[in-house]
Parts: sequence; C-alpha cells; structure tokens
Amino acid sequence: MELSRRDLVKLGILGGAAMYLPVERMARARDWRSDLRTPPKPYAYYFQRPPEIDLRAAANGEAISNLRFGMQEVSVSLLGSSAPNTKIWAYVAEHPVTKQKLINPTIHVDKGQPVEFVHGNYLPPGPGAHPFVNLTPHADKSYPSWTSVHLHGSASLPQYDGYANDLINPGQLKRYRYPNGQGARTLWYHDHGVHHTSLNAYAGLAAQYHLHDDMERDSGIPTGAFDFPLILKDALFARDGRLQWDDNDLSSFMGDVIFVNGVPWPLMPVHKRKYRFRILNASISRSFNLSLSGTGATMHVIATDGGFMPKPVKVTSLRVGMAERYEIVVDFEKCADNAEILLRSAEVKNNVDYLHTGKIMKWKVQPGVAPDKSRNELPTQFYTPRAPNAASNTTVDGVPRYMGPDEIMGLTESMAVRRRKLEFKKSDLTGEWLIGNKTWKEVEDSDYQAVVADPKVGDIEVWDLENSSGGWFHPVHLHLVDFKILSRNGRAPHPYEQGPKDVAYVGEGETVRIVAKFGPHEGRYMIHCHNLVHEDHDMMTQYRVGPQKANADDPNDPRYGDPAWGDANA
Amino acid sequence: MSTIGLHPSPRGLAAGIAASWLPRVAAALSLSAAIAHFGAVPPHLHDWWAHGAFFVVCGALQAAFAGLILWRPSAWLALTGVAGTLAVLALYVVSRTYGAPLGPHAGVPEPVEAYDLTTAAGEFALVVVLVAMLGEKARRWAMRLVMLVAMALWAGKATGFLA
Repeated sequence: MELSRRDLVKLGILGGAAMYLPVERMARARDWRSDLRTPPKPYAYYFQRPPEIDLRAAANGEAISNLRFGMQEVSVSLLGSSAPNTKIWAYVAEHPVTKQKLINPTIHVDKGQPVEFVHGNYLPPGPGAHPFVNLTPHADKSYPSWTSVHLHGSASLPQYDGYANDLINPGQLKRYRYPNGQGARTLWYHDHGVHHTSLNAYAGLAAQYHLHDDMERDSGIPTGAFDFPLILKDALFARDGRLQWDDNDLSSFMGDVIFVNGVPWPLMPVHKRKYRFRILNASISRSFNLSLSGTGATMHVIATDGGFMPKPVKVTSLRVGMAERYEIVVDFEKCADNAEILLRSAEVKNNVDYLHTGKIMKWKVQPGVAPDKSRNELPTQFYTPRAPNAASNTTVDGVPRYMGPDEIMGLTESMAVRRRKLEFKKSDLTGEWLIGNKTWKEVEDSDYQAVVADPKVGDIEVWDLENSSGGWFHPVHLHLVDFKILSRNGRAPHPYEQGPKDVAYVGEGETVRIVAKFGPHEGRYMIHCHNLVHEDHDMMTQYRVGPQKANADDPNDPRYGDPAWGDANA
Repeated sequence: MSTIGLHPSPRGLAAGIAASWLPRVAAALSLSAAIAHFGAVPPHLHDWWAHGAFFVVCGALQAAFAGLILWRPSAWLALTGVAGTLAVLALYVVSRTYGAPLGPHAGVPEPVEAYDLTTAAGEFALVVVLVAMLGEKARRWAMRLVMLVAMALWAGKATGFLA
C-alpha cells in the first residue's frame, strides 16, 4: 500500500501539471487578459495618422458637400505583421479625389459648410454577427447588425442625430445632414444603435471629424501636418487575433492592449517644436489619467469637447473619460536630442489595470532644430467669455443661430430659468442602469414621447448630474448642446475642463452642476452614460426642446423625419 | 481474463486494503468532486447546454463511483477511477490553459478560481489514494496512465498548445 519513491515522483509530475499550469496562467492573466501567444510590445510600432478626407477643398478648389460611407467588416493588421489579422467593423469611404477606399477616415470641414453623408449598412446581417469572441453569452444574440450613426458634438436636427432607435438595418441606407454651424472643435462619429452601441463601437465603428474656423486659423496654433488625432481605445484579443468581448456582468469592458489610432502603444518621432494632439477616449469603459514622463516637454490643454477654452491651461495631468475630447499642445522645443517622452496613464478608480495599461505612447525627439516651425504658436488667450446673445442657440426665420464658445463659457448660474436634477445609479432590484429611476425602455414604451426635461428653445437651465454610488463613474453626454461645468460637489471644476463640454465626467459620489442654453433646434435628444455597456443596459433617456408634438406631426421626428431606406446593394 | 492486479491480494488490491480507511477516503474525495461538479452546472448550462450536460454526467459518475468504491472495492474499479479522474483532470487543465475544446467559447481559456482549483486538487488526491489502494501489478498500469496524461500536459505546455 505504500507508494514507492518512483511512484511519488510520477504523481508529482502529474500534480505539477494539474496545479501549476492553471495557476501559472492565472498569475499571467493579472498581467494579460488577452490570450495572445506573443502580445504586442509597447513602443515597438510606429504611430500612424488615420486616413483623412478633407471636404474643405477638393482638387478643383471647390468644397465637397456629400460623401458616401459603407459600414463593412474588414480584416486589418492590429498586432503587427507576425500576428494574425483581426476582423473589425469600420466606416469605409472612397476619397473623393484619389478614389482610394479609406477605413474610418478623419473628416475635415469648415464652419458654415453643411454636408450630407449617406451611410450604407453592409455588415454581416446577424444576429450575433459581431466579429469577436463573445464571453458574455447574453450580449448581441437577438438583434440583427443594426446601426445608427451619431456625429458626437454636432448640433444636428433630431432625425440626423443618430437617435438610438433610428436604425439602419443590414442592407439599408440613411442620409445624414450636418450643418457645421458651430465653432471649431473635435467631433467624432460613432455608432449609436440601440442595445448594440457598445458592441458596434468596440468592433470599430468610430472615427474623428474636425470642424475648422477662423479663430483656429488666426490663432497660429499647430494645424495640418502638426495636428494629430489621438484616438485611445483598449481591447482584448483571442489567440487567433480575434477581438474578445467581456462586459463583466453588464458593468464594464476592460482591455489590456491600449491602442492609439489603431496602433498598440505607438512610437512617434517628433521635432523640437509644438504639436497639437486631439485626444479622444473611444474606449467602451476605460478612462485615462494622462501625464507626461521625461524632461523638457510641456502640455497645455487648448480645447475641450465643444471647442476652444478661453485660454490655454498648462497641466501636469489630465483625466479623460469615455467620449471626452481634449485638444492639447505638447511643446518639445526644450527637449534634449533623442529625448524620450512618454504619455502615461495613472490609476483611475474603478478601472481594471493590466501590465501595460499605464502606458499610452512614446515620443522620440529628433536631434537638431525642427525643419519647419510654421504654426508653432500658443496664444495666451483665445477669447473673453461674454453673456450669450438673446438669439444665440435659437432659430430665427428658419435659420439656426449657433452659440460661440465665448457665449457658452459666458453662461452663469444666475442666468438659469430652471433647475433640474438627474440621478445616475444602478437598480439594486433589476441590475439595470438608471437615469432618474428610468430606463430607455420607458421611452420606447411611451412611443418615444417620455422625456425627463422639456426646456423651451433658448432657455438657460442648470442641471445637477448626481452619481451617489461609489462603485462607478459615469461620463454623461447630452446630445445637441454644449454646456459649461459650474462645479463638482460644490467646488470649482478642474482647470482643464473649463471649456465648452458635451460630456461631464461624473465620478464616484460626485454631483456635477452644469449650465446650458438649449437649442437651436426643437425636438427630442438623448442623454446617456458614455460607458457604452451602461448605455446599452439601459442608462439612457431623452429630453425635448420645445413643445410636445405627435410623432406623425413632427417633421423632425427622430425616427420618422428621414428614416433609412431601401437596398444598400442597389 | 487478464491477470492484472491479482497479486498480492485476490482482488488486485494491496493487502488488507478492502478493510482499510483508503476506500472511505476515496469515496469522500469522489463525492466532494461530484458535489463540486453539480454546483458548476448552472453557469455552464447558461453558456451551452452540452457544457451543463457534461457536468451533470461527470458529477453523477463521480457520485456513483463513491458508492461503488465503498461497497465493492476492487482493482478494476480503482483503475477505472484512476482513468476517469485523470481524464477529468486533463480536461480541467486544458480548459484553463487552452479553452474548452467544443462549444461557443471553444479555444478561450476559462478563468482559474479557487473553487475549481480546490476541486482539481481534490481529484488529484483521489488519484493518489486510488493508486495507493492498488497492488503491484495494477499499480504499474495505473502509473503508466498517470505518466501518459502528465507528459501529454507538459508537452502541450512546451509546444505552446496550452497557454
């Protein structure tokens, strides 16, 4: 009955395999959640500028006012040439001049240049067609691959705003008209399909859109070759290169690979001069707390979601919640030859961190003097805030009058005609994410008439956005309007968020007070958490500007004003 | 009829084993593994019906084995227990390092948690106890099985098949 020494050795080999292999993998999983055999290494791949379509002036010097996009599944290399390709969903557009097909292009337009886009849904029809390994079986099983395109930051009419239930089903087309009447800003277009937004956006349906104006041109700040999108996004991968999805019981998605413009932890050579970076956090649930590491470089925030701040603000760190945009100017002028400057992310409460999620990208400063020092200025001021004009953000004789950033930042609490409070929380009973104890289902059940607020066009209102929980942060997005953040828990907002905003980071246990002037359009617009897992389940509601109208009587009804049609393949 | 395990005891077990405490320990370990597998049925059933069914069958066989090894301990039964438990252990390691071989999450490693690690440790102890129950000749067969599974797992790790 006694075991020999040889037997014990053999059993030890078995026991080692049975216990050590899973435990060793578990230990590694704290560093990497992805299952890649060879995960990408930080700073091993060069930075890439996303492709661009400049509609301001085509080859013949005339601006282009229309563009056709196809939402398609494409196979791209995200993890280097030695790794398998990854299937993603993307907005694919043909460049109007070169005729080249471009994936998720950055669009450039001028203020006052209205454009019309047509989006066709050519995605695999589904249901459950998303191109990733889905570790949450409840997700995406019952819906076809419907989409809705939201130009985030644009004061569009309701039927062109990407209303969640204004769907483009597979095989359909939809027209979007963008007035581009607001001031210069970084917008982004992304999916907003009801209950699918997180999955569609994670699959890749997101890109930037830049609105330019004279204030930007006259300021001397870096533009053109020295003006770069920085689209930050985290992801998880399966061994075969497919994306993985896990929303952790409807709470959050947390990836372990950080992408900047589709490149993991890129390396970017820079010269000794100023560069402008348009940071967009396009992650599903991860926020960032950015800072520079290295000697000689400085960072100024010059613009927020809704455009320029009154003046540049020098910062050492910058918290960027999902969907927030911050334009920064990084000055490498005083850096040493070959200096390496890191963009890092410090810990953020309720993020889940892995081995390299504290890293974002690296800049390598080229030796010698910068060969081009044009557009190398950082003005001391962009504008002085002023009280808004009575006609601003209203429609006069059928012409919308948009608010300038100076008027948005000139709003004060005493101008408000009304106060409201919206509470963002999770239901202890149902596990649903609620706004004011309501979900999007109640909007659907009311035939899309139920609203949580009903300001008149031109009304100035103060809203308190309250997150009483300690467990979650909620980046809250109001469609249509830009607002000014008045306070956080009664204290002044962070210096870097004192610019026009359309997303307010409502942290754990925080109440954020905002003021906005509602308009210029009438109609129903969404409010939601931009943790897209929360939005899908079901932290979304709507407000209405102007009087209530029956759906059939409303020419700007968000679902029937200009619905998707027909056959995308025709 | 094969002669494995006929010595030194007539039933192929080590001398005096039938009356010893080892079958009781084996039964307790097998029963606890069965309970653990039954407990894992709901989440696996939620993933895929076949995963849930596997855990039901596995738990039922382990519970039946617990009863049999107490009632009529024999070399054949112990050897069968070794083979079956090794298969379950191997599948566990594969599921945590490669992923389930079939189903909606095939090829995606499952997370390692204290619950399943404790269950696997209990199953490894069951193999040790069952081997200890065997006589010399049957034990030789059992150890061949043990080595076969152990080497296959380590080879899987060495070749990168198992993460």
